[in-house]
Amino acid sequence: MSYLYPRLIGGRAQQLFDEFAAVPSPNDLVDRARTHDDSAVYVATGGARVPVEKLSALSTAVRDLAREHGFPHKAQRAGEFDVALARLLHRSMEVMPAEAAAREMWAFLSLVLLPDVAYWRFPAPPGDRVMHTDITRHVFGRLWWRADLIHDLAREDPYEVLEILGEADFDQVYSRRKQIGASPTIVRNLIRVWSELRENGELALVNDRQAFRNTLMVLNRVVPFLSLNALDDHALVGELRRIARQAIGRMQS
Amino acid sequence: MSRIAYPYLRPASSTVDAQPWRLLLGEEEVELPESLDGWDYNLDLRLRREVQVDGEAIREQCRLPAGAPLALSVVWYSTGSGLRGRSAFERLDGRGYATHHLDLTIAGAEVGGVLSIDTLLVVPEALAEVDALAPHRAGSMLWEHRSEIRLQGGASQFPIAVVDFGPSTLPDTAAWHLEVSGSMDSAAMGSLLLLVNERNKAVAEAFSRAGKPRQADSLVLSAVYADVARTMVEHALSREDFVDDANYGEETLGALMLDVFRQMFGARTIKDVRLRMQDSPSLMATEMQAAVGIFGGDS
Repeated sequence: MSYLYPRLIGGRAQQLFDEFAAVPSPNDLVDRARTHDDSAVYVATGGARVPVEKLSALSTAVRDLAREHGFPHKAQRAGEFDVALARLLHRSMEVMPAEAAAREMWAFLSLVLLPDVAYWRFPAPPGDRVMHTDITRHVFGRLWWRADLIHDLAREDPYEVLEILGEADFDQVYSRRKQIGASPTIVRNLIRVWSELRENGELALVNDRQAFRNTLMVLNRVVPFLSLNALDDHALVGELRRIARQAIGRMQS
Repeated sequence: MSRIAYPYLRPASSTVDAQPWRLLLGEEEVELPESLDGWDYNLDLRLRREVQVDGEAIREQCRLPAGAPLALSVVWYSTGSGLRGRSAFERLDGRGYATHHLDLTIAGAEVGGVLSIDTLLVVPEALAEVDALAPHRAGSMLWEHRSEIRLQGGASQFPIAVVDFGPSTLPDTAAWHLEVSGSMDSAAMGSLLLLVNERNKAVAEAFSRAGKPRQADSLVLSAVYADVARTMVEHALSREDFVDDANYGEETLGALMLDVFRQMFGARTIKDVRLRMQDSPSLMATEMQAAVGIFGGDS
């Protein structure tokens, strides 16, 4: 089952963002959390609208997770919270990628359903953390997409590789969204190759993050004339390994 | 697909011949249409096509060994989800001239907006000890063909929501509102949302009958489309990053804005039109009415 989620229209998002800027503590936003807003709309695409009970259950689960990580006080182990939240959102929202690509849907989550958690995770946030401007920066949207790109149902734990790449590395993938980040198959196999290179000690003599960035740059250059998406996993891993080693080799020479 | 200089030999296009894609809708099979009205995420897309490949000629023209592996693959990209995936993969090892039947399903839950479907003939694995000019890396593309289908919104390029403006932050007597958000590089499908006020019977009914409009509905729709186009151009011109020498990616908001701009103003530069907009906004509004052919554009 997949659901359509409400989308918060821009004017209302801006209004709430301005209002919440004056709120001193995320705890004061608990009472502002709602499952409905008069300026949240559903698009005309067919499909089931998310039931209010499901929205309530989602907000309760996210709030419980936040409390485990320090809410309403300063966030503890923010990276760990993000990984756990990525799993939770992706597992429980039952939303399709084309719906999850709508930025206004995420603005509904951060400004209507869970403003307390959003403003706790990013106190005094810049607009792109909670508004409808950039999914790759959004407090919740970026995590759902991270989980969607790496989840692998063939693994016992489909989200096992969430912890292999950090936030900065994912930002690099996202910044090449059209060429590389659009393809879960490439992202999953790239993480697999990276994990393997790390275990083999092939990254020991280079800066890991810089090596990853260089690998993405080489990958970006070959994508116009190599269709990596057309390959089966075996051939894809071989080509990704070759590209990564090429990038690492250049750093060592 | 954009033209690029491939760093390897490619065969003549006559070595591959593809029949049009056929779309299976229940028991019915039709040629892939430009758009699929009424589609939703629950409808998977089942597609078939035949492709004739002259493997022998391809290997010869690309200086590949006689038994070099080739594969037909189908890769899709959805502007709605921003995802890319593979739906078919058939190896053509050692075959000469043959007909191949591609039969695939693309999950509705993964796609939306405009769906590009690329049929590709590739080298499926890295080849050692071949001619230096031969396509030897895995994924080398020897032939490709792109088809497109618009899934959401029928002829519209972005989603539409019919809602009650009354309790919203929008003026409750307005008839429609175009939401535009995101940078010029963001996906057009996720950046635009046309809101139609269900309280306004004339416009709400016109949209409900958009597939088969009466004359009165056509006039309303024409006014909406003209206003939407004008709003998009005005939005684009208000942004500093909408400039003449920008290179916007496919299906981005910038590319869509530029497309609308070109349809309205032809070869005129953005700089020129922006200045004109500042000097004579009312005349520009009239020029845009004419450019979109409001109410049929009869004179």
